Amino acid sequence: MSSLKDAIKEAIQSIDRVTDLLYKWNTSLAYEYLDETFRLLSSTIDQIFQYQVNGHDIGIEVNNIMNILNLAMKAIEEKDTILLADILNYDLKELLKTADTNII
Amino acid sequence: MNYYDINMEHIKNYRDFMYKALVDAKVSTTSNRLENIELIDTRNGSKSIVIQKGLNRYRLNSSYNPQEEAKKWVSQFEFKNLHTVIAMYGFGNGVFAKEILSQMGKEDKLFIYEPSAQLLLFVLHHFDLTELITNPQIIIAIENINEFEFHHILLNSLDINNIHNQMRLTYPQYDIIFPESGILFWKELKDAHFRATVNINTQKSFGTRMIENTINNIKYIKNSNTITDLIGTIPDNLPAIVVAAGPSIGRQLEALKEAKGKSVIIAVDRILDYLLDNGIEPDFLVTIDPMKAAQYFSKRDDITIPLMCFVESNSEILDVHKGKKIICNSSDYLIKVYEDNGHIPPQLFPSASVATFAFTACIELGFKRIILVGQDLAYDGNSSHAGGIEEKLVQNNDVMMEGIHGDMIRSRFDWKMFITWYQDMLVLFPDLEVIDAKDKGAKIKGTKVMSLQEAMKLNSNQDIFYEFDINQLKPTFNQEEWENFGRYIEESVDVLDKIKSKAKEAINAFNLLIKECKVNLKSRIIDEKLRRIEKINNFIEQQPVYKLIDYYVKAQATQELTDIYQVNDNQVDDSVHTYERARCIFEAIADAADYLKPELEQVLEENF
Repeated sequence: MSSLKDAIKEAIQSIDRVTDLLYKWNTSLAYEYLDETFRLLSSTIDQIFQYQVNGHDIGIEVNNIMNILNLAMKAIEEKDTILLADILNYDLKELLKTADTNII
Repeated sequence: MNYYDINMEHIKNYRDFMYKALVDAKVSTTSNRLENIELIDTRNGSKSIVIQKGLNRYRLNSSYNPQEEAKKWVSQFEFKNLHTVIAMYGFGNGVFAKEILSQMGKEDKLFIYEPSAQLLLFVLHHFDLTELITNPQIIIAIENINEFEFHHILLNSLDINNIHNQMRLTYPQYDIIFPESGILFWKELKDAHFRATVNINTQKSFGTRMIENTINNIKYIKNSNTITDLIGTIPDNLPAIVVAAGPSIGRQLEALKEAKGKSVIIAVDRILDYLLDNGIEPDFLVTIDPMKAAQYFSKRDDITIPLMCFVESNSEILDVHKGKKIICNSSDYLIKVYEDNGHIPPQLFPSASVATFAFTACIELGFKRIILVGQDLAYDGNSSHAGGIEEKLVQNNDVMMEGIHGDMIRSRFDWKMFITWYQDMLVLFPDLEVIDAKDKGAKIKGTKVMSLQEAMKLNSNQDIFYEFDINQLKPTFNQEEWENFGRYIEESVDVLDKIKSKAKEAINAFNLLIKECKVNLKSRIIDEKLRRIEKINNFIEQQPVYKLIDYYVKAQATQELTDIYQVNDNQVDDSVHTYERARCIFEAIADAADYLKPELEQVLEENF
């Protein structure tokens, strides 16, 4: 399952890059990268879902990821830059790390 | 004790001005009021703040881990240069300032301007700020509370050593939440930078001239008095009138004549002939500029009115003036000779202009009421000075300022700085009564505007007619002390050869260091040479005559002095850069010794 592990790793790197920019308040560049991050996340979530459908347990629920992404979208709508950075950096990244650890 | 009590106790112990201002403040009337301030428990067990201004909510910190957030935010800035002045708009809850502090060098300073007193008070209640409040490297200013400290300390903190090492930061979102105060913050930074640039340029262009003046003026010290000698000899219960050279003075001449004898009239050099032509003899004159053209003093050759001056003032003016000299600043070089002979060295510092300096002298002499005459600080039509004079500057630096009648009037940037200077002095000396007696011109906040005639009616000692014979005062130095003075100069001459040879030794050491550090940065030779240079430097700096040399160095090696604390990421390049600049400074010291020796020998020959 190295392709899923690679996808998760790439998504985490993308989150790190965006949150670093958000915490530094380089928001215009951060939002430019955010599209790419969401594209990667979407693809990664699909792969996680498929992985679970195939009977594997990776210790996280796709629904949890979707809920966190909804919170992130709300933070974007409310222009709450730091909350967005926190959600991506702590909540979402932690879930992805857990998934990564549990993939055999 | 709760956080508020702990913080206030520290403020009381470490920040006297801020403490008094906080205690006296009515926070409910301060600007940048917030609708709501919310304290949030963060996931890492800390606290963060969300504020509401108008309809908008702003999260000031991470609600997960504010300390980590601060680290990431601060990591984008480089704290490489030494002696850096960091100015930050916004205090927030202090977490960013704490992180900046952890990155700062020991010689760096952090100025923080908080636009909302309400928010800062909230933070004082809910956060432990001990680390920030007790650190002398940090200046915390709060709008409507002690913002004066930001302005005043910043103005006096930028100099030749750090003008190129400034960092200007804005706490995230403060520019959006408090935009108007942000403009004031940036304006303060701009003004401080401008003032520092002017000072550095002054040092550069006046450096050698100040040495020449000091040397030429030593002869006048023999029969002079210091301003300290005057304290108590002039009735300070009378008003002092500072006469500047603005156009409005033409309309105050009659009142000035009437004020003679009922006040102490101190006139700036430039207005002297105009006053004398109109039958007014001031009690004192003031000149401070090292380069002011003698033609701006007087065309007469019989001026005996006592002249307040510096040892560094233009010696051509002191040559033309025939009367008693009142030394208001002895120059750093001569401080020791005054002290060695039991006299307080006069050390009034030059301020924004000759008129502002006259004002400083009035404070020193103990006057409680000072009347400004002709201190227009604005154009009257096209006239810049009394008698319809239109002074043309090379560069247009017109600015619009508020006039005494509330209208906007044409002024100049340098005059605007003088206004700021007066306003600062009125904050520093709140018991002083200052009357601005012009009928037109720029407003100086804190002064009372009234005519000179009205101002003189306030005087309860109207029957007193003051006449003072300065010549009754014995000169500061008696004959024996004057001989000691001569020996002091002699010792300076004697040590100059030694200074020169030590400076040459340092130059050779730097040549070797530059070669060595390119080969091996950790070489033992580098340590040895640096220790030797430090000893040489200490020796040179400890010599009283170094104070004269310093003028020369600042004039000749301005660029090297402003660059010396700038570094980049390459250690070898940094070392070479620093050694090359330091070598230039020692070259200037050796040149200064060569220049000074014959000059001081001549002083000895002619005066002792």
